[in-house]
Amino acid sequence: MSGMPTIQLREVAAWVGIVLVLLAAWLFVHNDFYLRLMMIGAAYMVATIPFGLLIGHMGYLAMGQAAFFGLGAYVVGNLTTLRFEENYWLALLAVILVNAAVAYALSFPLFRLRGYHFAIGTLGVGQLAYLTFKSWDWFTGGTFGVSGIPTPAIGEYEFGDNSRLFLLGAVFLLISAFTSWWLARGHVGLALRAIRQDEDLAAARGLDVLFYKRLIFVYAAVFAGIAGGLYAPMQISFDPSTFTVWSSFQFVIYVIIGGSGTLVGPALGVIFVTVLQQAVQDFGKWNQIVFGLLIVLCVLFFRGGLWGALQLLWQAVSRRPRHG
Amino acid sequence: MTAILQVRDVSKRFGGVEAVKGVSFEVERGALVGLIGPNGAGKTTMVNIISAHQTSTSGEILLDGKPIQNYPTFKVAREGVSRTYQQNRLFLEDTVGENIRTGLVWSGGAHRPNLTYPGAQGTENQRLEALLALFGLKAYSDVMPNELGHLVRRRVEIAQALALAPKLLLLDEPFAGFSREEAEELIAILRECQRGGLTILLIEHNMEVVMNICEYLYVMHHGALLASGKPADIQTNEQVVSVYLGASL
Repeated sequence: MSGMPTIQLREVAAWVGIVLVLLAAWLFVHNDFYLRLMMIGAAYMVATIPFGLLIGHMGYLAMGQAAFFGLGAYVVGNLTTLRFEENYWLALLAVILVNAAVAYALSFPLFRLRGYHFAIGTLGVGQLAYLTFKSWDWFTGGTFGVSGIPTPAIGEYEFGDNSRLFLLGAVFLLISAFTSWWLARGHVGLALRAIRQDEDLAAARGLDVLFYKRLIFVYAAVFAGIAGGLYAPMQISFDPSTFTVWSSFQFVIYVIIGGSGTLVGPALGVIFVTVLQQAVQDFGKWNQIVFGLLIVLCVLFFRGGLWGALQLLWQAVSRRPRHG
Repeated sequence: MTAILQVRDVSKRFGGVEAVKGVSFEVERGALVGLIGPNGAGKTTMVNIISAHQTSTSGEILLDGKPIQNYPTFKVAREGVSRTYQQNRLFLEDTVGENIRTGLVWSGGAHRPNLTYPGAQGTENQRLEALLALFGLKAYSDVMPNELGHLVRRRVEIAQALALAPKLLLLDEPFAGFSREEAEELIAILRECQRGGLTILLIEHNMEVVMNICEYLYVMHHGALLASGKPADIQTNEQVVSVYLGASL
C-alpha cells in the first residue's frame, strides 16, 4: 500500500499489446460496417472504463451516466453546429470544463446519499437530463436534435470516414484506459477499494472519503462527456432518444457483464454487448427479449463478469497437468 | 497534567430520544480513563461524537484546547483521535499488513515527536514492523482477516487504530470475549503505549479490567453523567452500585 507501485514488465507488455491490437484493427479492418461498430464501441469504452472505477472499484452504483454522455455530445453540437461555429477541439475542451463543473456541483447533493439512495438519486439526474435535452431547444435542438457536426481535423488530416474516426476514438480510448489504470494502481485505487468496503472505517483511519468520491465522480463524468463529444461527429444526427435512462443502464450493463472492479472488464462488456446486440438482430421483433435473456444468463453464471470467467478459465487451463 | 480532551455540555438527540444529555468531562494527557455504564447509557454515542462519526446536537469537544466538534471524521483522525469499534471492523478484502498500513498512509504523515510508543515514530515500514511486533502479528501479516479468530482480529483493529500515531485512543469494549490471560496481554500492550505518551479513553463492561487499569472513571446512565472519580470511589458510590455495579461486581 505504500506509494505508487513500480511498473511491472508484464504491465508494459500488456500496454504494448493493447496499442498493437488497436493499431492492427485500424490497419486491417476495411469493412465499413465493422469499422462503424468499432468506432462507436471505442467511444463507449472511453466512457465506460472510468465509469467502472465509480461503480466497480468504489462501489457507487450510478444510474444516470447517459446524462454526462449526452451533455458532452450536446456541448459539441451546440458550439460547432447548432448555435456557434467553433472549432471541434475547442468544443471538446469546453466539454471537459462543463462536465467537470456540472458533475462537481451535482456531487454535493448526490454524495449526501449512499447505496440504493445514491442509485436512485443518479437515476433522477439521468431522467432530468433527458427531459432537459428534450425541451431546451436553444441548447440541444429539442426533439429534432443536432445534425451535421463538422468533421474533426488536425491541420489537413480530417477524421472524415469511419476508419479515421475509429482512430480518433482509439486514441481517446488509450488516454481513458491509461489514466484509469494509473489511478487504480496507486493510492487512489486503495482509497476506492476502502470506500467500497467500509467508508466510515476509512474516514476513521484518516481518509478524506468525500474528496475521493468527488474525484472519481467528476473524472467519470468528464470522460463520459469526452465520449459523447466523440460520438457526436460519428453520427449523421443525434437526438435525446440516445440519452435516455435506458442508455444509462447500458453503461451499468457494460461494467457488470464485463467484470466490475477490473479495468479490462468494462471494455470487454462494451465489445460483448455490441456484438450481442448485432447477433440478436436475426430474432426480429423478439431480439430485445433474446438480448435480455442472454444478459440475465451471463449475470447468473458469470458473477465476476466475462473477465472473471476468462481468468477462471485461464487458471483451470494453466493448472491442468501436462502429459507427454 | 493538562486535559487533552474536554467534552463540554454535549447533547445528542435522535428524534424524540435524547441519547446524550449535557455531558461534560475531561481526560488528562497520558491518562487511561474509563467510561462505564449500563447498556444504552450513551457511551458509544459519546465516542461516536468525539470521533465525529456522529454530530452532537449541542455542546463542544476540545482536543488540546481546539474545538473539533465541526470537523469531518477524517480530520479528527488526522488531528490525533483514533478509535476501535464495539463490533470488530476491518477491511476484509485486505491482508492484516495492508489493514494496518491504511492508518499509516492516510493519517497524512502525522508527526508527533512527544509520542514514543511502538509504531509512533520512524518510516512507514519501520512503524508497520513495530506495530506487528507489538501485537504479535508478524506471522499474520499476509493473512486475510476472515481467516483469523476474534482475539487476533481485535488486536489487528487496535494496531490499525494506532497506526495513525494518535494522541488519544478511544477503545470501545476491546476486552469483550477475552479470557483473563488474553486480557492481561492486551493490558500490557496498552500500558506500554501509555508509557509512550498515548492517552486512552476506554469503554468496557469487564469491571475487573476497568477497576485495575483505569486511573479515573466516568459513569454514564440514561445519557447523563452519573458519577466520576477514582475506581475505589466509584466502587463505593451508592448510586453507581445501584444502577450498574450491583450487577457487575
